[in-house]
Order: sequence, then C-alpha cells, then structure tokens
Amino acid sequence: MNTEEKFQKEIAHKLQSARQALNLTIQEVSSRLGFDSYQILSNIEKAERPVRAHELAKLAKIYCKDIRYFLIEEEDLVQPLVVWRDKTDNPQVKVLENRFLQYCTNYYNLEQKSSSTITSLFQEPTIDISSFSYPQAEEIAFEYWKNLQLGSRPALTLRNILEEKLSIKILYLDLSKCGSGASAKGKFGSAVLLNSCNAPWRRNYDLAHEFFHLVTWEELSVEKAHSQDGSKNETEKLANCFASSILLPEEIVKSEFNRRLRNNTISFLDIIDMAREFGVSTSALIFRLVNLSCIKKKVANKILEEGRIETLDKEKRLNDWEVKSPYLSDRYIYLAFKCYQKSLISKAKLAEYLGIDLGDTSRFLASRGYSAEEDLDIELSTPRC
Amino acid sequence: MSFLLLDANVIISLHEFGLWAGFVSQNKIAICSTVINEALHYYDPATDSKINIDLSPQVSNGSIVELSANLQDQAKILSELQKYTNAPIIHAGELESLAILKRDVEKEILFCSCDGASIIALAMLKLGHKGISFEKALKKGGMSRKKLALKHTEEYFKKKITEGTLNLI
Repeated sequence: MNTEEKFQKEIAHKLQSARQALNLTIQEVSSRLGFDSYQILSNIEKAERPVRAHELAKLAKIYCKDIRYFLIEEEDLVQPLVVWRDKTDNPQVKVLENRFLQYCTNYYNLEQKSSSTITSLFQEPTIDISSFSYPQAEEIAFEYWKNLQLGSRPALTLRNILEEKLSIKILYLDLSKCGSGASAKGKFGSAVLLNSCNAPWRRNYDLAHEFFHLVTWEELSVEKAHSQDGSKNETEKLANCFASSILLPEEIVKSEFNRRLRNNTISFLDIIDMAREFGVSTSALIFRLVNLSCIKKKVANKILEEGRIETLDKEKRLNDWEVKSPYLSDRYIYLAFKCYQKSLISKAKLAEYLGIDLGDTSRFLASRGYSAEEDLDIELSTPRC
Repeated sequence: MSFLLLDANVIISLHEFGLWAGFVSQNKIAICSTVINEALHYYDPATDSKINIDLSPQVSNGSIVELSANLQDQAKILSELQKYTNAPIIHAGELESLAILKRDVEKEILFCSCDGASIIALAMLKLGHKGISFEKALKKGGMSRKKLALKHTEEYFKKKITEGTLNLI
C-alpha cells in the first residue's frame, strides 16, 4: 500500500468511526450531504472512493470535528467522559456530547491562541474522601463561596467567576429530551453543559450542582459513581447539598429571612421575592430554610404540597425568563472576537466557532457590541502598576 | 492574465458592493471546491435583505473555474503551519485554496483575500508573492471603489504579509 492509499484508508476509518460514535446511519448522513445514493458514502468509508475536499468539510461539520482531526491528528482513542445528570436513552445524547466537546476544544484553542489561559491563584480546599458527608459538602461550599468572593447573591456571579477565575467552560444547549446537565474534564480543562430551556434559576442551581462534580471529580471518582446506581444517588444528593449551600450562604440567608419576618410570620410573596433575589427556585429556598432551621420541615412540606406557592411563583416570575435562550458564554465570544481581531483565526473559522454562517458574522458580533470592521489592534505600552 | 483564486470573504464583499458580475467579466476567476459548495450569502446594503450566493451557473458556463486540492496536499499545509505556535487557525476553504496555490506554485494563480489570518498563513507558507489584495485586484480589472474598509486595502494586505513573514523568525 503506498502512502496515499494508507492516508485515504486512515481518513476513511476515522469517518466511519465518527459516524458510528454518533449512532448515525449511512442513509442519514448521505441525505445531509446531498448524495444521490448512500452507496457513495459507504464506498468512501471503505476507502474505495476518495473523499473530496468539500465533502470532508461537510462531514467534519456533521460529526462536530475539526477538519484537522481527519487530516493530521491522531484518532481519539479515549474521548473525554461526559458525565450526565438524569441522562436518557435518546439517540441525540451522543450528538449533543460531541457538540459539547467540540465547543470545549474550540474554547481551549482560543485560550491558547490568545494567551488567555488562566492560572488560578486560588488555593482549592482539601477534601477528606474518607469521611465525605453532607456537613463536609456544606463546608466545601462555604470555602468556595468565600475564596471565590461570590458575594451576597452568588447565583448572580457564579457563572462569570467560574469562567474568569477557574477557566470552567460553560455551554447552553437544548437538552430537553436528553438530561438536565453534564460535566466533563479533559485536555481543555473543566466544562459544564446546561439546559438552555430551563428557567434561569434552575440553570443557576444546575451549574452549582455540576461545579460540585468537577470539584470532587478525582476524589469521589465521578466516573465510577455514575456507573453504580447506589453511589450515584448519594453523590447526587451531596451535589444538591453543595449547590444549595453555595447559592444560599447560611448567614446571609438567615439575615435576609429575619429581615423579612413580621411578628414571626413571613408571606408567600416574601419567600418568592427572596428566591428571586437569590436566583434560585422557590422550592430550593424553602428546603434551604428548613435545613437552616428557619422554618419547620412539616410546615415546608405542607406549603409545597398545597401548591399555592407554586402557582404564585409561576405568576410572579413569568417575566424573569429571558427572551432569548443563552448559548455561548460571553467570555468565549470575547476570546473568539479577540483572536479574530488579532488575525489569529480567520473570519470563516470565527463563524465556525460561533456556529453561524460566514455572512452573518458581522451582524452577530454587532449584536454583542463588537465591530468586525474596526481595527482594534491598537496596543498601549505601559509598565506594571 | 493570472487566475484570481478568491476566498469566501472577497466573494461576499464583491456582492455587497454590487461589483461581482463586472469583476468576473474582467478577470479569470477560480474558486476552490469547498467554497463553491458552501452556502454563502450576503445582506443587500440598500434593502438589508438576505441574498443567497449561487455560483453554480457561472461554474457551469465556464466564467468561474472550480479548482480542488487533494487531502494529502491539505494535510501538508496544516503540518507546515503547525510547526509554528503563532500560526493562525484557518477554515477548510482557506486551507484548500492555500493547498492549490502550493501545488500549482508555477502556475499563474494569485490568491485574493481580505482576511488577516489567511494572508498571514499565506506568508508563513512563503507564498506571499502569490497573493493579491482586494484593492489591487479591483484595479487590475479596471475597477475601483471610493471608500474601502481597512481589510480591503493594499496597505492592510502588506501589513499582514509582513506579520506572517516575521512569524517565521
């Protein structure tokens, strides 16, 4: 076999593996490529017919792989594990995982190109795995809240701080039929995938929940925990405890709750308003108030079972849903634009990273306050202050 | 007359300026297969309406030549660029165009681009002499436009070629 034949065979093999990894049929992919017959793709995958440049570009897009992967990179022998919460058997799961991992890789490339890799100066808390418990989850949550300086309303700052200080990559996709969220670790660092269709307060909670999994990835052997139902349930409960504690810091919540008390009573509206301020669901707040002994468990159960507070909550928070679902993070878009402005990536590659067509790039950037036409490559020489 | 191998950004700009038909009639135009098969569009500045760009009729009647590069040639381009940590990241269409240029270096083809990263990559492949700015390409075809954006100018093109050349050091 000569070099060219060997090269074609390698590409063919990678193409077949990429398609199979996504549980896509030859017929489905052929149809998306506009082939008259699925036999063409079959022949390509058997290396009986060479894949053409424009076909490879389209296949790379369908499989959520960079073209470099097919042309020069080593085949993914071990793909980073994506650990899901409430994962279903929907065939879309694999496709979403690929999109997520591609986003993470793109994000990492942008950080590398723009020399924006974050070296965290933050001393991460030590976790004693031998006695990991709910009080320990709360303690770690407090340490992170304090060291990351999340403030009195952590849900409002958590996302930005996780990205800016810990370089955690965050992506939002429609996960409706696939799960409620996921996390992953790889060469790109740590990453979280959230459901763009969820309410904003639910997404805040999910982010905090996934953050716990990232923090305890090695210690609690997340991969192992998610393969065994018993320990999985326990880990999920610990994650919920952590999320609740980090988003609703004890002293701040107690202080706010006491401030709203009038003659030892608090109205439903006050509870809903408090939940809104803290950026969590009303039920999450109620459970936390029980946990902090602010209200009795019996009373909380009764309130939640009655359903009135839930009805009021839906009415009062209707306008809190954003008009447009989130997708890419602000930091990702900023880095992509920065790389484009410095000619570190081409405009067509920028469009690919943003998941849009080339012709829409200028408009997309303008909608985010960036001008694709301005020469912002102006630098200021200044000593350290 | 040299062939002008156009990148996707140039095609879009020419359409936005209403210069496409004239430009094609005045020059020998080549476009790589990846860009020909890509769904390009632009927004009409007058009406702000989205207009799809269909190159197939001009390819069919021969006024545009479709060129292709095989994947091994493209892999060589990527490997060459990969040697340098400061090499820009380019798209599949730009990669194919550069591979065509490298393969056909003896032929009279000039790569016309207004994209900084593509021009830098061109210089890093030591093919700077095979490139041409949007402004110069317009003049070559006897056309001009009063106010060009920075990216379309000869000055910008030269600046990026210099940057690319310096990246090799």
